[in-house]
Amino acid sequence: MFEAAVDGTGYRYRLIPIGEDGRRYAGVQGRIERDGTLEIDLATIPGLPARGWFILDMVPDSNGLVGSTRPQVLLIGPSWATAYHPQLQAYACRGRAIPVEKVGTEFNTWVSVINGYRRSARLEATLFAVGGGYHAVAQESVGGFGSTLLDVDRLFPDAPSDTMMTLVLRSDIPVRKHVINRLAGGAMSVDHFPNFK
Amino acid sequence: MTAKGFQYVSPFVYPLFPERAGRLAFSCSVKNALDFRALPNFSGTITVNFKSIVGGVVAKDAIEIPVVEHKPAVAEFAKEFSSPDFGYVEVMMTADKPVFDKVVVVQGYGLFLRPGRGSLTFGSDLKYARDPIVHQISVYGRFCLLHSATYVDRKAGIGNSFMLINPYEQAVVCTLAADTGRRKRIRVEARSTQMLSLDQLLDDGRIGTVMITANNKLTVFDVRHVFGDPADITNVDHLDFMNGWTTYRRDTAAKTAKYYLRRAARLCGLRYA
Repeated sequence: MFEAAVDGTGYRYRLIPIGEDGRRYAGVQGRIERDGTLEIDLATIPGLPARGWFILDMVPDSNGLVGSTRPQVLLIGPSWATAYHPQLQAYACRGRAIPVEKVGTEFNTWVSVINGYRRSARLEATLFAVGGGYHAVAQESVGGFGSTLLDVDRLFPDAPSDTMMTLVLRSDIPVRKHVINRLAGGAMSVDHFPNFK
Repeated sequence: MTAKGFQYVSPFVYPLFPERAGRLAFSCSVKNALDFRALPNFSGTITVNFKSIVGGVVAKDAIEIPVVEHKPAVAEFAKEFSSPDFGYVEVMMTADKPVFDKVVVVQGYGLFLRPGRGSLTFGSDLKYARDPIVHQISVYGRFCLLHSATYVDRKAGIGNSFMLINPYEQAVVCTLAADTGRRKRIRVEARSTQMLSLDQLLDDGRIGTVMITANNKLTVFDVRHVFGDPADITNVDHLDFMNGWTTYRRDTAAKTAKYYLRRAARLCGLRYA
């Protein structure tokens, strides 16, 4: 619909998988033409670790306008699907908060932390009840170019149930953060922490 | 000289689902709004206004919070909503005098609380003043959103819908176009919500792209759910804007040199961000 008005362009891309320990693995690279579509099935890339993260590097061929630079990642389970989009590393930051609540006996929540820098990052997770009363702090770290999944239930086993809480994650260097909710039936919901510059 | 400011910040729009999908819960941090956006030494009253609209029925509520020298009487409070049907909630902070330096505050996040099934985190949308949309309209002249990983699989029971929310005063006509070649044109009435199942646009079991164009802004959420039951949700997220940024930017030699110096400093671990 915008072909006549918008001058798009093709891209060269590289997808670089990196393990939780910061080790780099062989990925894929290639081209995506203007108006083209590309699907990369991560499950078909041989030798990848069970957990980690990836960099998607896209270089435009020429001047043009960008529609969206954020591809979507689709997770397909046996009876569920969920989508999330990777974030620009430029959005990495030192502190952001999300709401969490223990429904019943568990938060069922992980926080994914990605460290895109060479140096290890010190993390400080603070959980407090919105109305006051509960306040706890936990310390973690993530190695250079590494990633980790923080289990909120493990970090704060004594947090009260059915109470609205705020989880603040601070770090000494900028890191990328996503929240993963583990739902009944094995389904997952993924979203990124707030972006705010 | 008196500092200029705004008496309000742009409202957040949160989706509402039928109660069996879960209760909507979120926190309102007056302290954050003051810390990020208020002019110094504000004393007065901040009012947090809630307006829920479900099936044309409007319910309003408001909480007034006194502020003395930048310190609110209540720094943060939680709010919950249950709904009989699909709808939305607008949350807007106003002050009794111009105090906010910008109308955009940190994005509000919410939870759907589902006893026995866990909680689900999602981000709200802003009703006004989103920079990418202002840019988009200036470049393309149309409102445009897309999602490049829509997916429906009837056999596996995987459903996907778009929740279209029109919180404005006029109806919006929008066109949904999928990469299967199928299109659908729908009208979303003022202050209303529509759920649109994507199975009519997509091929079964194949990842698809769906683009929405419209004559005005809409709030649209991508909802993953059990096929045939859009209230049995597994994920709620936003769509992507068509940005209209340029692929390359022309800079002065000094700016280019600064960019490469910063890049080198980051690679050496001397600088972050």
